[in-house]
Amino acid sequence: MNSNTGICEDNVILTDDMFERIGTKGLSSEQINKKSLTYWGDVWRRFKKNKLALVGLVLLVVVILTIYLGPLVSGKNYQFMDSTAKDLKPNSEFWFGTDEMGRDIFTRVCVGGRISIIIGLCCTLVMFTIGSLLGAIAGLKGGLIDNLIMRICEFVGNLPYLIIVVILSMVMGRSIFSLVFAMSLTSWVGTTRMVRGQILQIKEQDYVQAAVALGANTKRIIMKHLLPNTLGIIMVTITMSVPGFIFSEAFLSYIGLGVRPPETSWGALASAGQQRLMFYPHELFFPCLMIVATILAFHLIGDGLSDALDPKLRK
Amino acid sequence: MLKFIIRRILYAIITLFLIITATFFLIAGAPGDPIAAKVGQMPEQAQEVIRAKYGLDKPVTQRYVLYMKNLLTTGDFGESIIYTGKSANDIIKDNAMISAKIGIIALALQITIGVFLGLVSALNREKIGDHIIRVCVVLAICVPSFVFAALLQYFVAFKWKLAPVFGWGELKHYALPVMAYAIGGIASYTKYMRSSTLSVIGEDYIVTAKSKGCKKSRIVRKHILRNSMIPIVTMIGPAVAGIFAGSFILEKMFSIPGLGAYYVKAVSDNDYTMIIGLTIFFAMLYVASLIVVDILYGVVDPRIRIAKSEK
Amino acid sequence: MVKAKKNKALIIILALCISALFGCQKDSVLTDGEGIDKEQVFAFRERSAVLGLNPILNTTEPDNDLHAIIFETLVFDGVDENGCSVIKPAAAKDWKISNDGTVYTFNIRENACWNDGVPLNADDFVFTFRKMATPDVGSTNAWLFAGVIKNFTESLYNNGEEPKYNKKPEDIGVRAVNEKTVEFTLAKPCGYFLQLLDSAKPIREDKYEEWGEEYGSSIDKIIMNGPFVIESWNQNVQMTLVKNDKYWNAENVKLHKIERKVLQEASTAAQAFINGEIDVVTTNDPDWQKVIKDEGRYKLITKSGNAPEFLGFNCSNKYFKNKKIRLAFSLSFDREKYNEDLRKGVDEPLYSLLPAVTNVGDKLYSERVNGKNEIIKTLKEKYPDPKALLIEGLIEEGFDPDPSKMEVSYATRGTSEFSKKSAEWLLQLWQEKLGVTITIDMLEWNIMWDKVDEGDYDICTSGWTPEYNDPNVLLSIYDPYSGYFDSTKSGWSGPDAEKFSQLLAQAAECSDNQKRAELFLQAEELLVGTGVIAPTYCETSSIFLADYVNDYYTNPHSHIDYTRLYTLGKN
Repeated sequence: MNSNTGICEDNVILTDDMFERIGTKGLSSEQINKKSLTYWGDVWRRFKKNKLALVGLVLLVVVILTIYLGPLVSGKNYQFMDSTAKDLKPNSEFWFGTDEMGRDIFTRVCVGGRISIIIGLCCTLVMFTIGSLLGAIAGLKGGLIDNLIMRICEFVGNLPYLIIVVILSMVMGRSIFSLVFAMSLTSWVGTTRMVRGQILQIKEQDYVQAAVALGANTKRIIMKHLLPNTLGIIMVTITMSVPGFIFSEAFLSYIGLGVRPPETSWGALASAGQQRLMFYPHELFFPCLMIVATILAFHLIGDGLSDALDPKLRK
Repeated sequence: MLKFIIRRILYAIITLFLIITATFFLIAGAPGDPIAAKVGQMPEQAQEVIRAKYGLDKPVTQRYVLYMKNLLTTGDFGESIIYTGKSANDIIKDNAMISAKIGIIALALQITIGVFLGLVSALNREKIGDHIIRVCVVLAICVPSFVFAALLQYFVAFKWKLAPVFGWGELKHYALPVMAYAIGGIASYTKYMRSSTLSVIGEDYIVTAKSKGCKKSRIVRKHILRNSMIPIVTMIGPAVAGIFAGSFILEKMFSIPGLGAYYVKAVSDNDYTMIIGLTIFFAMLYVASLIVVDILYGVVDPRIRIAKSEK
Repeated sequence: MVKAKKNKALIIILALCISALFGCQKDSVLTDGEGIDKEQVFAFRERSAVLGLNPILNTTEPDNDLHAIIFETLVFDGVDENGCSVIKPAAAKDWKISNDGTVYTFNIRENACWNDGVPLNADDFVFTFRKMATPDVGSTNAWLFAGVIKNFTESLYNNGEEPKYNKKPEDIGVRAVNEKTVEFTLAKPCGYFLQLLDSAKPIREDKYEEWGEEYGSSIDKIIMNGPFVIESWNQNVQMTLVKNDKYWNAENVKLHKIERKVLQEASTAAQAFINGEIDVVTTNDPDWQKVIKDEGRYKLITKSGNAPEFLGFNCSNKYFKNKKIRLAFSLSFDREKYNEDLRKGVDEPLYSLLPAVTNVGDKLYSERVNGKNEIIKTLKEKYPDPKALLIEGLIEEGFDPDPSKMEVSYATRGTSEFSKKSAEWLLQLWQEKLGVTITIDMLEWNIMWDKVDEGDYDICTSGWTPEYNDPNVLLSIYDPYSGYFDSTKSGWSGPDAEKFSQLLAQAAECSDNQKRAELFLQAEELLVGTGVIAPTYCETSSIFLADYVNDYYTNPHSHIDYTRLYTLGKN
């Protein structure tokens, strides 16, 4: 049959130009039709899908914008005491009211928030870095090194925390740096234990054994198996530790070891407000509101991340 | 196993020794005169008499040797400087139990409620129950315990008169401190439990068990619960040691005579016998609880073979 | 009752200060005794726990207050119906003072005894004072008697090294004339000896030998002789005291039980008062006061304080060695505003180091000097612009006249909320008034004292509780040689300091109270007038007493007499 003549039925003439050659493109079953996703790309994709996590991210951005831009908008000085405006309830002039000394709580909450968040983040960073590194080494290497690291943990974990804070605040002076230093000096112990525990558990899992049996090198095992599998629990630790550090700072402020006045922090504001709760609840409420909003943001983000990072939860 | 325990105890003793030494010298280097509270308005010459009595006029190393000798031969932490006539041992003995009573009740609540809620939350992932629990957890974690305590005091005790505002001695006095103490922990345990349960649910053995037609309740009990308890077990160790330390702020707010108040007072007054006594006490608890945790690991997770990992 | 009058015949040397007659305040509560409640229980609150019961080793304020209830020494420094201090016979029924004022002979009551029934004897006092004078004991109230009782200093400071301290505890001027008579020989006449004696409560030899260091560490290891004895003691919670049936005057003690509760937080205490858990509360917080007043059923007692608060400038500091700079800081401190902003407007702003209640002899110090002691007020008129004064001073010392370039740190005493906000207040004040921005050093109080000891501070905040009611106590803390703030601590030396020391010495030897007051004024003009210290305020307390409590008398100098107190209409 001559293709050029075509089939002549119902007076329709099929000509060559009515056809297009599509070849085999797109039909190969061997080829992946989507752009290959890296591990992190996948994490980000899954994180984006999590509405709550995005809410958390937005909330965090809002909080950070507020604490950095708020004082500019309110146009007030966080230190300025106005003795004619003590203990005012929130109003159009003072959005969050004023404290016992007649200072604008909104501006104080903003300025205090900067310090609290910086402290929370810095301490967490230090804790996370040291903790997961040592924990991973201990869990992976085992034996003598594991033993040594665990003993160091016991030692550091038992040093009297308060004394270290007191000494450091004397030696280094009262500053954010000395606070971060003192608070993170002993905090990594918990993370180390946690990571080590996880690694010990995962190490015994079949897929790791299989990888080892297949001759995968240590680096590959760490990157492809141990790290992704432990990240979930580490993320939870991190999200929990930012509020943890903000509270530690509050505790230190409560017993008078916090930041150097006239600087302030959420912890310092909350502990001052706590003593005035019975009559001026707003002095406690607003610092707490900001703490709650920030922590909430970290939690939602952390939850989103921990789901996104967990390879077992891939949908 | 026995060999392992003995070895751990041996290590623990070395750790303790290091801790005591480090603490001793840290305190000696810390600013603040231990007898300041005692000598108050005294003239310098009179202060010297008191200082000599407590051996504070001697060099640090000499004091250290004396202290260690005394500690090792008699197990005595020494006489408290602030609480004249009382040995640090007695103060700890008398007051640790008070902190512990609240702590143990709170811890028990934390673990049972936390594990239960975490499990429920994870098993009902993304369902309404899960959402409610997660919202509550986040809120509970976000409110500092002293704020929570203040709210309880204000509303429950002061406004509604359902419990005493403060005090110690009777059962009713436990209600508010235990609640204030437990709430944060419940939230943390719930969160950890949820997260670890979720990761366990994805494991092959769960899928296998499911596909073999295993009953859900059995899967939860035999597989999920046991495996997801591991992070919780890690947390319990330090938490047990922590319950004796008490929570200073809560103890202060509720006028509870626990160890927390002694500890902070000892530190702020630089009462070194008390500080070292308390440090040793907490360190011993902590180290002991860690050993127990390591043993428990093996119990909850049969895959971790202690002896092997310790080689 | 042996009143001060009776003694006057005997005391020829200055009746320095039987402070008995001082600071009378007619604001105490009077009641007629129509009968009393069947159950007599009184509960009060203290901020701090009692640390120990050993009267020669535990002498912090909470300890002393308790010891005044459970122990009784020869005399009792109490408060009478008019709110005046009065030295009453206690374990001693009467006493004689030799003509030269150096020998005191006390006759102990026949029926005075310890709570186990053993009679209280002269030997008990001899033992107590000998123990106090023994260096190894480390008694914390012994120093009060150094230089007062004969050979006491020489024994207390005898460490075998300095030849001038060569006496033994047995050599001190305390001896038992007979079983019930004890005699004190003083190194020199001391007008306030009876008040001082009140702070030395007795210990008992046999028990002290038995319990040793543990004497007074628990209720099993203590022997008491006061009107009340301890029934139970839960250190940081509550101490319960019950009437001592063995007490010589037990039939006149009305209360059956006293509960001493430890409540640290002021708001907790106010709530406890409203709930009826305690019968008296001190609060200056207007919000709590309002709640208490709304509840009704209270009596309000206002108690002036006797302990001044002040700022100390380190005179060896490069700036504060200049008088003008010091004064600029002191004068710019707005005492009224401070009181308003930080002390709820109830305290006494201090323009003199000596609070209003301070007496010289039987008259108020301020009366004797016609109010000229308010030195700060006078100086404020002289130098209306402290900033100009400061710049003058800076130029004199060769500094940049711009105050904002000054680097001055301010050390807080403690780390409480109050320390913090008052420091922040000062920061703003000096910024506004002087243009100086201070750095705040938040220090634990014992660390702050350490720094003061080493002279390592610029401005410190301090206060002083006088041991007895006389300007001498408060002024002599700044004596450059023997004061607590001697010249190494205060940095104060030079001709002014010399003169200050001489004036105090003159006053000590002077027997005419009017003259003494004038000498004190001159001394104060040197101390406060050159800005070595800046007096700030003196605390006034508002005491709310449940309306069923009767015969509760208080003043800043003396102990509350619980033997009189009773309740009527409680429950």
